[in-house]
Amino acid sequence: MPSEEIASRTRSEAWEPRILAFLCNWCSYAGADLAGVSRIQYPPNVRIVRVPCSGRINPFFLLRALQNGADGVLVSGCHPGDCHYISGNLAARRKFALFKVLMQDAGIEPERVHFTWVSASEGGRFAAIVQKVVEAVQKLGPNRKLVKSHER
Amino acid sequence: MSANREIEARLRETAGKLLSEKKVGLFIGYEKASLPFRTTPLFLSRAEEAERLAWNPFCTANLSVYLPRLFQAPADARAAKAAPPPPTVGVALKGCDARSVVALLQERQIRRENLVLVGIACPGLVDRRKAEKALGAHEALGAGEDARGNIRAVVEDGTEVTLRREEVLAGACRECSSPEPSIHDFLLGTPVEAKGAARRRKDEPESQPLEARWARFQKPFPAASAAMPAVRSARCVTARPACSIRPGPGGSAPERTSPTSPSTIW
Repeated sequence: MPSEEIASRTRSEAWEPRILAFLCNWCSYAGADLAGVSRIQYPPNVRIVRVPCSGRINPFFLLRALQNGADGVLVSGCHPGDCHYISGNLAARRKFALFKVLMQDAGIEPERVHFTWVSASEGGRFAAIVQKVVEAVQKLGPNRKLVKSHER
Repeated sequence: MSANREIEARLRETAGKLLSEKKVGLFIGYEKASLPFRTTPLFLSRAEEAERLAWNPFCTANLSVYLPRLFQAPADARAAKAAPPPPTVGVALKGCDARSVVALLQERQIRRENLVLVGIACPGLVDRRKAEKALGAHEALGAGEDARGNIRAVVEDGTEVTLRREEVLAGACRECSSPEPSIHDFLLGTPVEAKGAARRRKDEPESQPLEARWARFQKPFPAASAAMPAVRSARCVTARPACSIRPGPGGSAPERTSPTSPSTIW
């Protein structure tokens, strides 16, 4: 994307953050499903990718998402102790704690990367989290730092 | 009497009292180990044995690791019902270990009401590797601490060597920002001044604003700019089609078509 277009995107009222959400199949995806089935309203800015377990996600996925134009990333798994694969979510938490530090070290706003737990029964919580993430990313504006120009 | 000796005496007294008054069924602390510069965890259930407890600059282990397993209920529902109630446990905690206890509490791996946290205002611990390195070719047979906090070690030929405290103090302890446990029921030792803030290195990335960090991060990667010079990153193995840093398939030529419009499908 040429820079003037990015600038106009920032200026225009129409800019909406694009959030890529990685949700685990057993808890968070079911939670998001419940939010939908219960007709809970939440911002449409989030695009969901279903993964078998939050432990499946490589931090590089998040990096690629940011490089390819996502303004923010959300990762959500089962609550500690509830993981379908015993401890995948704990492994994920370790990875993301490090990833977040790396992001900050490189000068990326840490609010672009969110990590949370949502269980299958927490449709309302999922909606609230999406709302919170969208607001946080909205405050930051579009992500320009990591975006690879040739892929736009 | 050095600060650590005082803490040791009070630790024994506190643990003995907790056990004899049946406030706790188990006390977890440190015991002198058979090797120098080391301690071993000690699980006490009898007040008479409180004298075995030790506190010295070698008490590096984080005793909170032993806590969750004491509160773990069996996975099988029937077995869980028949299981005895969780024990009350006393544990000696340094400032750094208290952080693990807080995390375990937040995740409900342990129960606060069953815990008696004996906090220790920690004056700093010795890095065993640093001490061994400082001794050089000598091998320590025993080690202790003198009144000023310096480490004295007896080496293999029977002579005594004094290692300066600053030399062998663990790196993390030199910059410790929480020598006192944030949560505790008892606090042993005199409050220690937190050194973290004063010693923070000014030019470290974490003390710079985000924009400055980004500029620093950009420096090794000029290839990310539009007109790509022939610069390789330090780890380049010329696997160019797969490279995340060099743009475009092939990645070699800076030839670029006019900027494409952003795809509308995202």
